[in-house]
Amino acid sequence: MEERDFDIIVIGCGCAGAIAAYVAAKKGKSVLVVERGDFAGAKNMTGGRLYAHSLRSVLDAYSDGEIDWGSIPFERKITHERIAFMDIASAMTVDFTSEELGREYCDSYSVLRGTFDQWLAKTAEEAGCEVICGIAVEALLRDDSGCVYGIRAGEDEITAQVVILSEGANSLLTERCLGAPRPKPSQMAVGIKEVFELPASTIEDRFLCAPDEGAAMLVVGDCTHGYTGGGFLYTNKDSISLGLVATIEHLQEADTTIYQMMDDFKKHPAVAPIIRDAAMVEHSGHMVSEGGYDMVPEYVHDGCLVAGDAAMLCMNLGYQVRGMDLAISSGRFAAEAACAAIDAGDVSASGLAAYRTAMEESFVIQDLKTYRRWPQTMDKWTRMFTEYPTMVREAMNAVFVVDGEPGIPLRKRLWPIAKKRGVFKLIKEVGGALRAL
Amino acid sequence: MTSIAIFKWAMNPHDERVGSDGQIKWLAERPEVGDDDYAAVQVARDAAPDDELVGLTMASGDTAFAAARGAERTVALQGVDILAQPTEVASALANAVKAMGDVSLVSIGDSAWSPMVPSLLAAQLGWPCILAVDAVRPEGDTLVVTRRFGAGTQDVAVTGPVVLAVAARREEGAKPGMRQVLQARKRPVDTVTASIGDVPTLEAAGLREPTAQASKLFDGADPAAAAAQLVSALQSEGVL
Repeated sequence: MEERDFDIIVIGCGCAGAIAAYVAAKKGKSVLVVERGDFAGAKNMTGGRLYAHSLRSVLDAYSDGEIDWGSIPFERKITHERIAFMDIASAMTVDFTSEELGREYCDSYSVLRGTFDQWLAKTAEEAGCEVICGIAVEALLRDDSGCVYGIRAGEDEITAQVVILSEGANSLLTERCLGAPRPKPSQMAVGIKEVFELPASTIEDRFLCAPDEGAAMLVVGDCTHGYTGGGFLYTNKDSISLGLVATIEHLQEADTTIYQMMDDFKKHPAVAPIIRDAAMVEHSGHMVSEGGYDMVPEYVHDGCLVAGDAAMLCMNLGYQVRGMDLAISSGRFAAEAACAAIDAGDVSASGLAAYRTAMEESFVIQDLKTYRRWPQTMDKWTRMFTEYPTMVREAMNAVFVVDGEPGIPLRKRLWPIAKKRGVFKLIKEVGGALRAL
Repeated sequence: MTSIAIFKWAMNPHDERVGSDGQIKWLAERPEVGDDDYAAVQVARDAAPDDELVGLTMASGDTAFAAARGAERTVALQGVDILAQPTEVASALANAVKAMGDVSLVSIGDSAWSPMVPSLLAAQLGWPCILAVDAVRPEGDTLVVTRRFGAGTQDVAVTGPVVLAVAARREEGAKPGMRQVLQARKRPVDTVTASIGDVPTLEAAGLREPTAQASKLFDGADPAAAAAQLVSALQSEGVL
């Protein structure tokens, strides 16, 4: 193989990039990470929650016990799952907690990406990677055969045997240099998030959590003014991340803006008490891929692999939102495949095909395939965001309201509520959703 | 002779969050590259192109900033409380300069982030200090320092060691590329424990918020009239 500046160049220092760099460095490869933000995490925004299984398996395989799990800058272990149906003035919330949610390898943690990604970058550096921040990679270098052999930023060109592209959901390089199709407006969403500072004890009181434990909450309905999307809330150590995600296609049609949605969301009677007396200390926005498996681009190329959000590895199931665990495992698989290909002296797409095999044999692609139909189902299921929250309110009022009038059997109170929406239509819609999930 | 360019020595106030209870929380407890730092390195290099250029920083982590801009080596001062008194920061920097021996010039950003340090540093060294420096040019044994002076500039001729507090007029034009940064990281970095002398402390006696300006509302019913009012208001405020 030709001499190169590095064995591997990683573009982007988020979850996928930093883990790819860490694994490759641990395997003895020379690695350069180029991050366009001024620091790792500067360009990232996530709710966010990390399902820990993927990080645990990477550290089990590569850290040699050097990394103490307790030293990782997680915010809180999520032990309460909340799902809420919200209409304009009501909300029905399911709060679930169990021992299994906190069990090792089933555990999940709220994170703030600014802090978490810097820890990832530091971990990669300590493993021997070079990390350069504040540089935007403008192009991938290709040889006469079309094989990627490096990157260009300004007048600088740096070469490598393999380039791992993990620059996030707004990846221009996959489109510009690797031919990935531009996502459709229905496949991309806008996410906005505000962080509200509160004392840790107040958060624990409001969410009935033990110290260092917390809640994750997903909301559907009026939070997005009835448009496809949803709200999220995560408890951090001494703050709450609150935000909305709505698809670009529906926002284009909407009679309002996502900022107005956010403002109304914060004032909703089910949300306002949670952030009462809290100081808003951060506001951010980002693009989120929502198209699932059908928008995953080709991720194995001659001399180049695509990982993480750049490969659109994100799943929003309504009751679970996942991206970071997919990114971490894809970063690991990319690094392992790249190292093996370099050792074998073949970094062509066929030489790097072990990445595809690892992805397809793992939860990453299998989960995306399992829930492949869900994004389209959700996109078309407009009543989920309009009629259903109202129906839930009417049903719950029928169950709980006591007004002194003579009682009517519950089935007679609930039947008209369902009938009004069309019982067969409801069965069809719910059945379709269950099949997609 | 040696020229020293000081970089990454102050906290970025953008990382400072003041709570409603007055408590200050730093989002990043580390010095960051200041807006003037690149110009400080440039001035130190221009002042003595044939002398050794040394970067001096209080940062940990990536210390290649000055080396990527031409410094032969870097000295990283450890053990200074980054939230320390400006007198202590200046003392630590001054002692590090003295320890380097034959130093002819110290260049530091004329930073709004910690505006007292350059003057205190010069006081600790017993050298003259020129603030608001734009550029320098050596003329024989004399250094001609161009500094801002009112709306214009003034040239000051200096002989002997001096502290130059440099104020960048714009963002850095051509930042070092990846290769320069990577090569810079191979240059020597000496990590030195800071020595802080017995210096006076300065206590903040109070803070006052700036006087609030009244907001102006323009009636947007007639967009053309509103735009004209806006332009007029901006002109009267000197913005346009």
